[in-house]
Amino acid sequence: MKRRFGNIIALCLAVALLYGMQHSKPHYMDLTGPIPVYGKMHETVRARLFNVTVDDVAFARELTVEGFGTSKTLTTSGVWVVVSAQLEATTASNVVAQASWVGPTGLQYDSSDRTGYVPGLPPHAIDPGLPKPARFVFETLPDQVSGATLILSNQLFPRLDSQVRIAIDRFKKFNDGQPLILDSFDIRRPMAVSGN
Amino acid sequence: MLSGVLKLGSKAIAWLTAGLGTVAALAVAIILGAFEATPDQQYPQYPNNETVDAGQWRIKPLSARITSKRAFGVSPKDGQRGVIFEAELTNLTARSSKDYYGVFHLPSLIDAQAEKPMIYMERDASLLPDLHPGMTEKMAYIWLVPANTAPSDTVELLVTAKTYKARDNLTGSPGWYNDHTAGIVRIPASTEAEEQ
Repeated sequence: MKRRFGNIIALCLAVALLYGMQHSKPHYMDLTGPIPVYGKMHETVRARLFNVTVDDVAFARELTVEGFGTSKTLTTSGVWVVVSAQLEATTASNVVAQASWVGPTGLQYDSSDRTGYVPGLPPHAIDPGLPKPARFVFETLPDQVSGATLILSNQLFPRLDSQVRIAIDRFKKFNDGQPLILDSFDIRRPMAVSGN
Repeated sequence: MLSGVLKLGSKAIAWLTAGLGTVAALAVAIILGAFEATPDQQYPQYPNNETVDAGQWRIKPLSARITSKRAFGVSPKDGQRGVIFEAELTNLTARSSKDYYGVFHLPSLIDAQAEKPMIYMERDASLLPDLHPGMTEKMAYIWLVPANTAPSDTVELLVTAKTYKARDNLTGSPGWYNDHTAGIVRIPASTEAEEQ
């Protein structure tokens, strides 16, 4: 009788302990999630497999792209965001495939796939020692511009790998903080290279 | 043990056990939801040209038409008709998504004979683009169906929605799960005259 009672007490304790751990300990996805590398614009941010420097952010109502010899003009219900950056691999050639524009409230705008395959847009194949200009194109809403973060990683869902998070704070804006939105942006426009 | 208390014969005990067992099995089955799939549910009918929230998407059914001509990138073959359904879609989730692919379904009798739908953004006829949080876009769904099964004057579509779970059971990650039919759209369809 005493032994059975002891068993029941042990079982109850185990249930309580496991319940407490389930609610207080981080979950599997949190433990194996991306490892953030925070950075600012105009400085080199170092991830495990690539270094990135964001030079410029521009906003436009229309975007002109050229792929396979034809140019097309893309409209949007929000604004186009064009991020110009320098990418360089650290130790081995790899691909930076994932870019997202995360608004101040955490809404995540993945890089637009409406452009189709266009040279200079992701996925970016990069090599060590060969820095390369790279552009990222997003569609977002005008209220998702100020206080936004640019997120870059090699894979679509990085797990236990670095994820670059760059605060976007320097862009052409009016006195009230609203960004300057161009009528159109031509993706063929050459990039200003920083440091040269 | 029971026969000792109630002084019952072994036959009566056997009948009683079998009866109680059946009742218990039915009770467990009902609790586990084994009878939820019985087809006596009536789905709510969504009004046309009005916005309605269905899981991840805010939808606004706009129009439908049946055609034998080329529409967007899809040409019906001989003996086929294209069922074109237009709707406005708004992503209510926090991340860009192509999950609108499974939102609208033809009824299963037609769906079994139809080809998988092609979905285009009306803005620039791009195929299956990401839709970004809060950005409303007009989309066109195109199914190719055999001419004899094509709906004539009203297109009926089932609206599939998912429910949000803050943590899924396997990995603890947030997401949208559990497809279910949330409602039904009945929209008058115009038939485009066939060229002879």
